[in-house]
Formats: sequence, structure tokens, C-alpha cells
Amino acid sequence: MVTVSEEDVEKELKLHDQLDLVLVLAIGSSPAPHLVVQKRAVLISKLLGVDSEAEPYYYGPYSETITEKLQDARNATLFRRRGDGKYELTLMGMRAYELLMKRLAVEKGEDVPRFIETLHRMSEDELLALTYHLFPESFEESKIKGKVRVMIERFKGKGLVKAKREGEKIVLEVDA
Amino acid sequence: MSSEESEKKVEEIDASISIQVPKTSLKIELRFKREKLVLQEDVKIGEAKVFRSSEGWLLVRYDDKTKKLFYAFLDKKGRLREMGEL
Repeated sequence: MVTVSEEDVEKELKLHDQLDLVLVLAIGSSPAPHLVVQKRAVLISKLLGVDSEAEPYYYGPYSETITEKLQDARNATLFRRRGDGKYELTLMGMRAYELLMKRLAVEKGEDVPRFIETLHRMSEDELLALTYHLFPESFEESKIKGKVRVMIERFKGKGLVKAKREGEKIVLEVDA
Repeated sequence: MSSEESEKKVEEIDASISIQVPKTSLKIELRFKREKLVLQEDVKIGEAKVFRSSEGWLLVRYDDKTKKLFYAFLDKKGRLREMGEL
């Protein structure tokens, strides 16, 4: 049985840049299609302060750099593209994912890795709606803006979060 | 023009301009009703932040272009429950 020690993972991680590691976090423990990996990576990189070089494109924020990294042979130790087009982590990639989640919990607090796990449970449609909503410039080039706007409208005014201005600050009241 | 002449001209100018310093962050206050918890946070332009509540996650992002705060609430199963902006 092939095993990967933590020392091996540490060595491997040193060979990659921050965006490679964001992709490991974006793919996670179950295979995901390109669009899903892109959107998760855009969100995770924003949370972690990593530049994903994403720009508005036909199907929401898109990063050519991420696409190149997903295809880069130097990253084949961490993830690969399967026959059905989905991306999955290698054994080394899985160990790297576990280690990165532990590191994030220490460096950024427990909430960040737990939120990333929640992100992995999102449906493709809702993930798309979320990225368009948080990055409204995504509508500029979009070919699916009508469909996405309808999706976003469905989630407005539900009463769980109320926003108001109080002087210079914005107050968000959360009832959930 | 000599530097002496230049200085004289500057002294003669009786006008002023005001430069508005662009905001680099936005103050937000989060009031989690169920936990009876209030948080004060600064959200930098373009940055996204996430906060945990009893039922899920509140995501916020301050967009520079529209000068709006965009927010979304996700439950723990990863289902969108609310989206809005101000």
C-alpha cells in the first residue's frame, strides 16, 4: 500500500505557489467539473487574499491562469483530469488538502476550513449564482445573465438577513 | 523661467483644491440575533469575508465599482438561503 508521509507533503507543498494550493482546496475530496473548480477557487482565493486573476467571462468570473494551472504537468502530483472531464486530487493531493485545512484552522481560525467544506456541498447552479452575486462585474460578459439574475432574485428579501445604514457603517442583522 | 520667478508665481496663486481620499475599507456591524452577538468588522475593498452563525454562514464582499456591500447567507448544507446588497 502506498503511503504519503506528512514530511513528503510538506516538501511537495514547497514546490507550488499559493494559487496551486487554492486549487487543491477547490477540488477537495470529491471530483468536480471545471466550472465548479473555477468558481470555488475564485471564492476561496478572495477569502484567503490570493490573486486568482479572475475576470468576467461568458459563465461568470473566469481565470485563464487557473485553467493553465489545472492543465500544468507540474501540478500532476496534486491533481489530475479524469476521462469524464472532472478534476480529482491524487493521493498526494488528498494529503495536501488535509494538511492545508489543518493549517488554515490554525492560521485563519476554524471557520475558514469549515466554510470551505460547506462550499463543497453547494450545487453548481447555486455556486454560480453566489459568485455572480458577490462579483457583480461578472454580468458584463455573461452569456447566461438572464438565467442567473432570475436565480439571484429568488433569494432576495427572505428576511434572514436585514441590511441598513447607520451613519458611516452598514449593519447586518442575521436571524439564522 | 528661473526658479525665483517660479516661486513668485506659486505665491500669487490664491486658490485651493480638495482631494477626496478614496475609502479603502467599509465598517460593518453584524448582529447575530440568536446568539445575541455583535461584531464590528472592517471589510477591505474587493475582499470577501465569512462569518459563522447558528444555522450557517454569512458571506460579505464590498464591491468597489458599485460601492455596494454584497452579502449571502448559506446554510450548513451549502444551500443558499438569502442574497442581498446595500
